[in-house]
Amino acid sequence: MIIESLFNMIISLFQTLLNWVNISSLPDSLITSVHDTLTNIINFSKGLINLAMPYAIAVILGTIVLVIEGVFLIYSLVMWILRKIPVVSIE
Amino acid sequence: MQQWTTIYNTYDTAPSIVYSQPLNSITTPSSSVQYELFLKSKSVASANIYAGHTYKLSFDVKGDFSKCNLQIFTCLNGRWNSQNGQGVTELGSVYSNMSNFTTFSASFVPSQLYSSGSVTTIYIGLQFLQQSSGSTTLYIRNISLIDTDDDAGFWSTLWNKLNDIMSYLNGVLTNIQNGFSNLASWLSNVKDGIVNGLSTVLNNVKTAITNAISGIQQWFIDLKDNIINGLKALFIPSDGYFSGKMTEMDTWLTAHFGALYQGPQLGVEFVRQIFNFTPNDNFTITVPNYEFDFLGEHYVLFSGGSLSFAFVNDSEHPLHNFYVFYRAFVTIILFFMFFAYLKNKYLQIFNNGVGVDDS
Repeated sequence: MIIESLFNMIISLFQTLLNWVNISSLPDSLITSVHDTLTNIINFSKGLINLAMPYAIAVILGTIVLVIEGVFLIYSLVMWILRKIPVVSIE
Repeated sequence: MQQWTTIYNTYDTAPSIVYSQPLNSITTPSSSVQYELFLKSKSVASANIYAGHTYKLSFDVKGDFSKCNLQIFTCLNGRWNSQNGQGVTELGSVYSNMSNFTTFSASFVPSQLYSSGSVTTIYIGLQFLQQSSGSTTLYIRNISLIDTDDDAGFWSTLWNKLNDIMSYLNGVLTNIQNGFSNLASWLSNVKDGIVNGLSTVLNNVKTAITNAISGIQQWFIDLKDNIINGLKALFIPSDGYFSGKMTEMDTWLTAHFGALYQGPQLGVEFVRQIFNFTPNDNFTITVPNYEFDFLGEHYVLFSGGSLSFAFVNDSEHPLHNFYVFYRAFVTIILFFMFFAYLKNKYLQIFNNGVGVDDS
């Protein structure tokens, strides 16, 4: 209940603050064209990667690397903030 | 030895009789007639009459008359025939005034004719002729029939008496023993009742205590579960909360951020395509067309097509073994790279980057 309330409050605050934003969407034909083009490129790239290396292994290892990098990024951000606080005295 | 001690013991017990008068007392007609009475023993099936044996019949008679002619007969299996005398043994005649019980005793020997086969009934006939007028009553008691050939004699009788005494004492002892046995059984039942009662009480108390403890334990378990569920409800969102919020945010972002939000949407879609890819073993690569329109002109940079590298799976192809070796090599290299990355990341985080291989 606390988490839900916190999330609802954040979302409501976010929506309230940005409610004035009204950016129109791109034309559907453009989106479709971009989507189809990029999909074809991705499929082509996946075919090439699958030919060059084991795709499943590459995806698993790549996912792990991305997760580690993401966690490290958050860790670096937190440490950067903590270093700005003199009381904490973290070098 | 076979001894019929009693056929008709006292006039208080009435065996069946042929004549319809009560056996113990017979009222004769008032006229002076010859009158016959036949008594029949009830159960002699287990005691056969043996031909040639001498049987002693005795009984007590009392008649309220001054003078009569009393004749005693016997017959077997109802084969009574007083006319020709077959099967009839005349025991004797008495002429006396029997105001008191008088014991008569006579012996007879059954003939071969009537002793053959199974004898089931023996009849005793009393025939008397009243010689004075007026009715009278005849009383009979203590009828006994003894096979004297089987009489055991004095010592045997003594022995039999002793046996009877011993049997009686044995019966008394047996009764005493049974009494003690019953007493012991009763005491055992009392003990069992007390033990069972106490056991039942103890079990009931134990069950009550167990139920009480279980109830208290269950109360604490429920309390713990309720506390945990309450805390979980406080901190853990309900099922489907995040997916619902994601849908809500997706709708809101699409409505307010339009083109800015469509870019990330496409990015997410492409990431999903990358991860959902199922590699095929045909190694077929589809090359897309690279073409566009510009200023009313249609330009084709590259014409697409499909390239198949399925030959690498053909063991007869010269490049097959090379490709298998290449895949194995690349796989090993991938893992080496991955472990090198992990090592560098570890050093970067826990060793302040000292020792990181940047090459």
